[in-house]
Amino acid sequence: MAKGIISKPYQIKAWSELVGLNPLLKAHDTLPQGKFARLNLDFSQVHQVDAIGLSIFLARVVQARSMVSDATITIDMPTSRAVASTLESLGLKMHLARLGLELSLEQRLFDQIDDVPASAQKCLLDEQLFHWETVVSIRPGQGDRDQLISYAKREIKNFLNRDEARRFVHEQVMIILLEMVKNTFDHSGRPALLGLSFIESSARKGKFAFSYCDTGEGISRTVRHHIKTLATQSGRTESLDAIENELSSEKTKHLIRLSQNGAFSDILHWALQPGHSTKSGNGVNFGLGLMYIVEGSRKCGIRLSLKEADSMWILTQLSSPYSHAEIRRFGINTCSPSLLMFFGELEYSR
Amino acid sequence: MKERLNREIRISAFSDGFIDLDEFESSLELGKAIAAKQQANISCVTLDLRQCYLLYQHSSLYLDQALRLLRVASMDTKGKKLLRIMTSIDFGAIEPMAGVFFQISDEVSSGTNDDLVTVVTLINRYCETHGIDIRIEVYDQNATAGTEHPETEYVFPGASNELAT
Repeated sequence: MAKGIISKPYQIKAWSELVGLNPLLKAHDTLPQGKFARLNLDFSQVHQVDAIGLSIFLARVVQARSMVSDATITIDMPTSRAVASTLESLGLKMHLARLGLELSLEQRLFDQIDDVPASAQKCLLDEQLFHWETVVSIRPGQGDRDQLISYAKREIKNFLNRDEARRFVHEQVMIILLEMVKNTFDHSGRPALLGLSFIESSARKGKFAFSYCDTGEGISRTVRHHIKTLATQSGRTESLDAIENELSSEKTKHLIRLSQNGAFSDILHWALQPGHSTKSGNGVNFGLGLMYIVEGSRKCGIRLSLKEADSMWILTQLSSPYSHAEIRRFGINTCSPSLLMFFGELEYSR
Repeated sequence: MKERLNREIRISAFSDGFIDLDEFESSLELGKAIAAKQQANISCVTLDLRQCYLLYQHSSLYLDQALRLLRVASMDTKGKKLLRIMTSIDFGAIEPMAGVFFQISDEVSSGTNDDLVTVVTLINRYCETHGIDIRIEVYDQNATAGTEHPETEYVFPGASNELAT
C-alpha cells in the first residue's frame, strides 16, 4: 500500500493591517495550476482588521484558490483576542464556507487564540462614537439566483437600517450596490465580496465606505467580448443604401479595432457612454449601466473608484460627457495584482 | 388648481408600511392599495416613495396602478391629470430616472425595453395620448415634511430635468 506524500501547505498570509485598501498591496499568490493543494490561511500576524480589508483579502484568496482544482484549507488565527473577535463578528467562518473555502478539519477557530491583551484593534474602536461594519459574500451558482440576490439585499438593508439618523440616502446606495451584485451574476459568474463600513467620530464627522470585489474576468474582458460580438453582428447587416453600408463598414472596423487593440481607457470610455451595457437584450437584467452607477454615486456624494486590472480611476472625478483625454488623465497605474473592485466613500459632517 | 387638490389621492408608501418596494410582494400590495382608491374624477395621484427601497423590476406593479387610475379618470374628467412621484433618489438624468420607475411598465410601453432613451420617448407618448403629466420630484432626504421643496424635477412629457427655483 502506497503511502501518501504529505506536502507543506501553501501559505496565504494576510496583510498584518487588514484594514481599508491595504490588502491590495499583497502580492498575488500563484499556486500550481490544476493540482491538488493544501492551503493555509495565515492570520497570525494580523493586528488590525475591518470589513473593507477582510473583503479584499478574501477576494484575493478566492482568486488564488481558483488556480487549483482541489484544495484542503486550514487556518491560523490571529494571536490577539480582539482581532479574532472582530473576525468572528464579521463572519469569517461563514464566508469561507459560502465561498467554497471550507476548512478541511473541524477547527475550533475562535478557541485557538492566546489570551493576550487587546491590541490596537480595541484602541481603534474606542475613538469612534458609532461604528458598524459587515461583509457580504456572494457566490453565483450556489443556489437560486433570486434567493442569493435576496440574501445580499437583506444583508445590505440590515447594515443600512442601523443608521437610524439616515445620514445618507439609503435607497440610492441600495440601487448602486445591487447593480454591482447583479453584474456579478450576469457577467462574471464568480464569487464577489462586499465590505460595508460606517464610522462616526465624536466630532460628528463620519464616513460610510464600501468595497465591492468581483473575482471574475473584469470589465475589460467582458466589454471586449461584447464589442467583438457587436462587430460581428454589424458586419452581417447589409443595406441597400451605399452610404449606410459604408458607415456600417466603418463602424464594424472601429468595433474590431477597439476589441482587439483598445487600451483599458478606451474600453472604459465605451462602457461610460449612455446606453452602453453588455447586458442589453438579455431579458433578465436590464440594468443602468456603468455611467449611471457613476452618476448615481456622484449625486449622493459618494467618491467612487474603480480598480480594474492594474489601474485605478476615481470615476466620480470624471465629468460627463466622458472624454478619452479625461479618462486617460485620471487613470493611475498601480503595482497591485489584477482585481475588479469598486470602492466608494461618503464623508459627511453634521 | 383648488379643484385639482380636492381630487388628489395621496399615498405615503413608507408611512403605510410599504418600505421594501425592492420586493415583489410588497410592491404588489402597494399596487393593490392604490387600485382600491379608484373613484371618479381623480385628477392627481401623489405617491410619496421617500425612504422606500426601490427596484426597477417591481416599480411597474404600483406605478401602473397609479397611471390606470388617472387614465380611467381621464375618460370622464376634463383637463390634465398628474402623477407626482416623490423620492430622494436622483441619478442626475431623465433616462435612468425613467428606467428606475418605468422601464418595465405595461401601461407605458406594453412590455420591457432595455434602451432607456426609448423608454423616455414611450413615456412622453403615453402622457400625450392620455392627457397625463408625470412629475418625478427629488427631495433632500432630510427635508422636513410640509415645508419641503423638490431640489430637482423630472417632467414628462418633455424629457427635461430642471432645477427647482
